[in-house]
Amino acid sequence: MSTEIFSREKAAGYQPDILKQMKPLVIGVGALGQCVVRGLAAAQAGELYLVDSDSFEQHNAPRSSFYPNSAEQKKWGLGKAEIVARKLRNEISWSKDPQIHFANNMIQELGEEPFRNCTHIISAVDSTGERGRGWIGKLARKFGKPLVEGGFKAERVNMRTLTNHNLDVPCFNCWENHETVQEQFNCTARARLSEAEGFIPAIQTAAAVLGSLMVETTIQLAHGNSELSNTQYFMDIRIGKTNLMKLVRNPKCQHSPLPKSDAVIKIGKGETYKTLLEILKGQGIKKPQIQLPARFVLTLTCFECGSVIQINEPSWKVAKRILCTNCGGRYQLLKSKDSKVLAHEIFYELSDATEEIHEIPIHQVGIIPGSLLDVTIENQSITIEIESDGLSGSNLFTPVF
Amino acid sequence: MEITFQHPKSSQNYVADINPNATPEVCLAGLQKDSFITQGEYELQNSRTGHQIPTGTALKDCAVLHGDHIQILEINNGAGKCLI
Repeated sequence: MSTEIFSREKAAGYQPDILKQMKPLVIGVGALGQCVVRGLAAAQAGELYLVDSDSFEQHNAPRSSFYPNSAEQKKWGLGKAEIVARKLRNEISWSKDPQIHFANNMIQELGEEPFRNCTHIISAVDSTGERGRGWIGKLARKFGKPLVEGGFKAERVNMRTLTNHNLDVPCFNCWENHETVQEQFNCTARARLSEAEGFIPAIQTAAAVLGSLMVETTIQLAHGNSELSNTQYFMDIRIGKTNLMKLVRNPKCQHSPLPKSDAVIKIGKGETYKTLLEILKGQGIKKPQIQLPARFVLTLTCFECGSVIQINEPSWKVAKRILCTNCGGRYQLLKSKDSKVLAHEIFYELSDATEEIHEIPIHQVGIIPGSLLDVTIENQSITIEIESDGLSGSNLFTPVF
Repeated sequence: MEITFQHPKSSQNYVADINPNATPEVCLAGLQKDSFITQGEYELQNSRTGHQIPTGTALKDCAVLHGDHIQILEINNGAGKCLI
């Protein structure tokens, strides 16, 4: 048998040319994401884009083979995306491929560009709704990109594969219960919920099994093999029980065709929403209703002292902050349904009338250059592309050599 | 119609007489109330067809028939972070 570098992979059905063309976007490089990127790098995907805003903490080490030693921490800090990218580059030092890029950002901060430019989307995040899975699923659908997403708890793993290749296949949001995920504004609340359910730690072996499964599925999708397309796979690695479920499309879920821009505008991420309106008016687009990529939270009410707090951030960012500038209190998980309800002022879309937003920079509202905006003008929907400003979106990725 | 629910982790079954208009949410609430399953996030799968029975959809609209077995599947959303 040949000793050529890809001889075994070719015998197993992998085509190096196809692997070389792969540009997967991997969101989340915790225990699961690290197993995914290691597999994709060894398989010699052409480019690899890693995104994670989290930092390593000591308790991550037993589930993180890329956990940095003290010298590495001094050199690179603790940002997960950067450390994993740099250590992965060293690990695959025998090859120039893949070209590895990282961004120590929340995926939402990068806008839509990374989704448009990649070939496959791999979701390895903990969070749901606009903070994580919901956001990723929505953009994978919008740009018709295959999505492989995994989740696990202790020994139980599940993986969903959505091809998003036409309007007739199920998408991530077909059956999502938005009412449930909208309430999860705060990670502290989620942690407390988890505590109430009983503490079940994540285990490395489950991450490794699921990560390998996700890599193989992504590679097979790239090769045009569709055995696991539009399915959800369940496995308990301790008892060997598996299930493969065929996902069905929700006929009520609106699947729009791939967006085409009707107009292109140029605006920097630091310019205000008012400037955006003026630019649109200059192009003859008057009284636009601009659909926001994510809900914009103007104010919230602190549960602890009842103060109304000015937030001025998209909902996906809210969970990262201490809510109350008055008492330092956090959003608490409420014990009963009769307790107080979180009061908030939230915008789903913007118009001329939303004057309280006018002076806020567009990136703070969640509008990132390099993205496509859905705009309604007198009952007519159009798509406006905000040209990349060279500072946002994919420009936030750092290449690793 | 008679439906057999299959436990997500063990080989236990739960046989119930179910209204064909019932949705997965109604079925899961009943199964949790009877302590057959714990609180959590689940999907239902028709074992005969292999298809998902989506939330908010009546069993009869998902081709579920009298005597069918329905597999309960647990959804896990973690990616490695210990939440506490």
